[in-house]
Amino acid sequence: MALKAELHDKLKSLGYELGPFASKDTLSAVLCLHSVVTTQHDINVAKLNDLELRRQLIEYGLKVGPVTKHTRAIYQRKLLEALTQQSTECQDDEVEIEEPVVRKDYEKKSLYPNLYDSKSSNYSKKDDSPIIRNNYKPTKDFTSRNTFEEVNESRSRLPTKPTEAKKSSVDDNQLAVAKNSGSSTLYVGIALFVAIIVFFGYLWLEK
Amino acid sequence: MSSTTSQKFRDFTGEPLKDKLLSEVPGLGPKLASHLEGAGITRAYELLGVYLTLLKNKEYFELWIRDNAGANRHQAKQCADAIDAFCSQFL
Repeated sequence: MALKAELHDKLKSLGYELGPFASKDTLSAVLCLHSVVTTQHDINVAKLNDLELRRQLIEYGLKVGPVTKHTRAIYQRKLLEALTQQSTECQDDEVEIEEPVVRKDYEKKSLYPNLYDSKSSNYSKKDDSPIIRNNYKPTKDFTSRNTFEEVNESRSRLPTKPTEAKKSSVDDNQLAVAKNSGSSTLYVGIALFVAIIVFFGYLWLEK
Repeated sequence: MSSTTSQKFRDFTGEPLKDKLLSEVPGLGPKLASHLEGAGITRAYELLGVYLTLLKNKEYFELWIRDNAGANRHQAKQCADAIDAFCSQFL
């Protein structure tokens, strides 16, 4: 994007070398905070050398490692944040642009296709998140399907027995209610029952 | 615990890095790996190096990944989690 390239150039001329994929919002936030800091605090964060930058960060209480070629940009951002109490971390760009700053007219054609392309290529063959989601789905569907079918079965049974005697109809209702509340409560009941038997058996043996 | 992690994650944190490529790091696919190669990072251990230089600060590392590889927040988080898990396992 032309705007993004401009922002990058401006920051470069100031002395910031943010990564090529920093979002537009981040770039403009950095520019803004830089001017605020130079006017208010009289510190040119971009021109600080590595040691000075680290010293300033420690002064503001941040625990930072050495300032190297890779870490410089991050620490510059953090110092700006610390000085102004504002965050430089803003929204990611909406469109995931294929090339960082080079192509200016690329993303207009491929706004939405880009999203799908980059997302599908980002999830490589091994597919991190879809795998995790897939692991959870089947079990959930299975239990809900079970109870739903049972509910259907019991419901279909009820209207076919309207003329039965009161006791048996009451029994049927009770059974239906039990089945309506799901096989899970049945299992819980059975488990409790077995647990109680085992418990008493153990006590009896201990005696 | 293993049911919440992907195969890629388990492969990454289960053995030493040796000479693994960037695409073997959870969260990074071939496209992001090529972006990082443009930034001068070719192997997973170099990524580990950046993480350690940032004093194992996950938040700063995620920022760095987003800025230099073009990862979104989710991918950056996956990457940071994996490298952090590797560190707690092997360092």
